[in-house]
Amino acid sequence: MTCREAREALLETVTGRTAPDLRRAVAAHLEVCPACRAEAARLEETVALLRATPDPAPPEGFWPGFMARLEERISREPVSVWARLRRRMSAPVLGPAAATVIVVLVFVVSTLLRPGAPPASTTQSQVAPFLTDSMRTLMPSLEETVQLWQSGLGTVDAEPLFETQPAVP
Amino acid sequence: MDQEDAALVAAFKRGEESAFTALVIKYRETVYRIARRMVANHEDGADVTQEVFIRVHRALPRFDGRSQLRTWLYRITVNLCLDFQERRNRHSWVELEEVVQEAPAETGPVARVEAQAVRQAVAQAVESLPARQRAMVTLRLYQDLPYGEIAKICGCSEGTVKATMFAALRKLRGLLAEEWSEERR
Repeated sequence: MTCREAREALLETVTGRTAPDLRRAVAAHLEVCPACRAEAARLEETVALLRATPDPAPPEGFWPGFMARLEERISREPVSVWARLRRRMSAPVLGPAAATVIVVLVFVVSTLLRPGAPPASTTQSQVAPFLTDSMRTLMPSLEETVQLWQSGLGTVDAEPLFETQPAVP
Repeated sequence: MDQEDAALVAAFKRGEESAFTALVIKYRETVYRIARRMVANHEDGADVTQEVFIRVHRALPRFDGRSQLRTWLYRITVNLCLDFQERRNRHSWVELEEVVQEAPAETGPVARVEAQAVRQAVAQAVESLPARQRAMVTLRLYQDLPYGEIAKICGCSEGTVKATMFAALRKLRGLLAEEWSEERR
């Protein structure tokens, strides 16, 4: 090992992460080279002095307040609807299925509520064409949920969402 | 990526906010220690630490896991500390009194005075380093990170980190030697 190689390796050796074979090679060089030995001693002393300073620690009882402030700041962070939706959709299995269901439901409802939309007979017959087998497999209670949702809206608005209109005489 | 970190990131991306809290608890002390060694006082260190986690919360949904979460987190910390210094360049880098007060009490009065003198000299010497050198010294000597990871955090090559560290240690050695020789006079 040359002096130049030894001095490059010294940095690794002195600051603590060296493979055993490199450490042995440096030690062998230092035994025969007083100049590099002196350099190593100076570096070691400097690193020891620097490492002797204790790790800074926050005052006692700092972290609970820190967590509360952080939570408060995060709650004030503007979060776009898209970001919320994206996080919800990133669930590995339910995400894509839920997204499909939401899109289908929005489409069905918007179609039915559109002025001049053709009257429909019953909820199930209206929704059924939009529900695929895979949707039913992933969300077995989907049709039930749609019915429940409709009955809930019906009680609030007094008029059922999918009620058929009387025929014009 | 560390398996635990990967699981927490995945859970956060699924919308589990508690996963973020777990990440903060895991890394807050290290982030604070890095920040505290780089900024003037506890208040500034606490502010930087808070800002780090706000940034992490914003950016975590886009974190692709190509690097270690730890590396990414420390990179944000170092960059924020460098920005902080830019904005507060009139301020003393580290308040020496605070560094000395943070030290544990030594046994005898003579030993205590000597130890305080050493810490003050070291703090003064480190204070005189340029910000990036100080960041590298902090990450290497106090966080014990490998040179390769420090290079990723600081956005430079491993060779640059080693050369910078060598220069920093030489400078520190010179400053400390000066300090001792002045004291002995």
